[in-house]
Amino acid sequence: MTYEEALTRLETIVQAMESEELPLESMLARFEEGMNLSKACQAKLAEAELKIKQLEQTQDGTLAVKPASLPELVSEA
Amino acid sequence: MARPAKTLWDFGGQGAKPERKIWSVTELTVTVRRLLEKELGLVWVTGEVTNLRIQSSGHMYFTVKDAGAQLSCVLFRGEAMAHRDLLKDGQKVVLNGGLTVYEPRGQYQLRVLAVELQGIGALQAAFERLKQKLLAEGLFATEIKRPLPRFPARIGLVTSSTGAAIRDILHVAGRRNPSLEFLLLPCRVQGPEAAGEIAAAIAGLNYWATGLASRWSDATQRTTVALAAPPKLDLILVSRGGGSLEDLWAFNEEIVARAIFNSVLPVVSAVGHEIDFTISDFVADLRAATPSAAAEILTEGVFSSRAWVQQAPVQLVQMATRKLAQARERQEALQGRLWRTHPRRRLQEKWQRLDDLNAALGKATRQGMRAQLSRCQAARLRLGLLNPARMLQRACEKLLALRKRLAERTSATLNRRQMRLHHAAARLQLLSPLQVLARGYSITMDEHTREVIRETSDIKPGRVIRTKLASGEFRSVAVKDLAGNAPAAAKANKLDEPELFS
Repeated sequence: MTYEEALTRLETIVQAMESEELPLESMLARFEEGMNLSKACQAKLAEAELKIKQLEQTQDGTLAVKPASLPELVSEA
Repeated sequence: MARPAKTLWDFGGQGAKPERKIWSVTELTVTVRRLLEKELGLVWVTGEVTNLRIQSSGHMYFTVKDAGAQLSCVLFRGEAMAHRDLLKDGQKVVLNGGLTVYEPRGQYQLRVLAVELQGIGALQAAFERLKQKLLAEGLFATEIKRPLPRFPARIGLVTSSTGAAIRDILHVAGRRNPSLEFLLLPCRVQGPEAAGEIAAAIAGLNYWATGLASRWSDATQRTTVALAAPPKLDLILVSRGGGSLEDLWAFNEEIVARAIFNSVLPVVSAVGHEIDFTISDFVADLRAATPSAAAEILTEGVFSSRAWVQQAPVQLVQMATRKLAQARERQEALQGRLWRTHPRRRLQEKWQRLDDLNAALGKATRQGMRAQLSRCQAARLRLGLLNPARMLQRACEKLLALRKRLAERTSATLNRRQMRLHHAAARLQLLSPLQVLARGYSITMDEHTREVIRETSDIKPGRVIRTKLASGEFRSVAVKDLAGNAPAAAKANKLDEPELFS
């Protein structure tokens, strides 16, 4: 599950808990799911690091992805 | 013509005289014109416009000058490509045209084919022209602008790999959403090759991510093509750091504008500083003021969700607690209602109701008795008033009163009648002749006729007259009246008073 998917699901759960009259059982089930989702979202944010790649023209004229070589960026970062 | 010099001071031309060639003016002028046209051909010249004259034919005549010289120019009406509107007295222009000679006057002049503004002015004019053209074509229309995804995960980047823009973008994005991925297609962003490279990079990223060359199956009808699969990129960011108008010029080229217009993926344009607007800004789906601003916009969804994700567990716990409390409250309310419906409670309520009714009954009875008693007393009182003895007594009293009034009325009537009688008698008395006689008057009447004598003429001398007094009467004879013309006075018969007339 991507961050966006997890976040959207979490928003849906919170909204449902706020507005709808849920049966107690499903309310508790959603509470648990929501807690897990928010943990997962936080984990995704915490472990994330910016990924930079570069597209390069190959011999046959097509484009290929290769790791970015941005030396001056690394030095300044 | 070159001859070997004989001495240092031999400048040539002093030797054998060349053969004299005499030109006609026309010949010479035509030759000069041919020479000029052949040797110089098309030229570019810059200077300031002066003495601009527009003839009714539509041709324009003017002079361009700089500090040291001036040049006559003519712009014929038929030159479609020349921007006539740029010609103004005092305007610095760049002219393109051919040098020629106007033979009738022997004057050389520039036949202008194109007019451009110089430097910044030229760029600004080109910018304005392209902007108007693309605006008219609808490339800036808001209807074709696409919304950006709220959480872009992979972004295609078209910029220089060594510029300030990429540094700013990665710095801001790394701080705000480190989970973002960038795919860079490096290109030059300055110089004559830049525009073509930028346009190619936009097209290349699109093709790589979608397999499509353009978003339009028909660009004039604005029919879009459908994507076969989700694209490998969410959007494209075209960017460059700040610089002069010339530095940013590539982003004002039509080829870049067309590439953005054709882009299958949404395009964000972030070129220069806040104050710089480029054509690519107008065509793009979103214009960011600077590269950093673009990075902020593209990470805003995730960045703003971070705070919420942090406090979401708290919110969840609060909500669960509140919901549980609500459930408990409802349960307690139901229990209360259940308790109220318990049979013993019903019985108690019924007892209480009975007591209430009992009390009410007693009260009502007492009230009824009081009412009866007062009615009885009132009747007794009225009965007492109807006692026969008292009625008899009242009748007697009434009779006595009537009798008294009768007596009073009778005697009063009698008295009034007596009084009236007395009054009448008295008045009769006053009117009696005897009463008059009593006061000394007398009545004389004719003895014979017994008529009362009121005047002396009534008496004839010798007549017997009778005089009546208060007490008794006497007879006398008339003699004469006092005037002497009457008969002689009579001689009284009976002499109580012998001379009645004297």
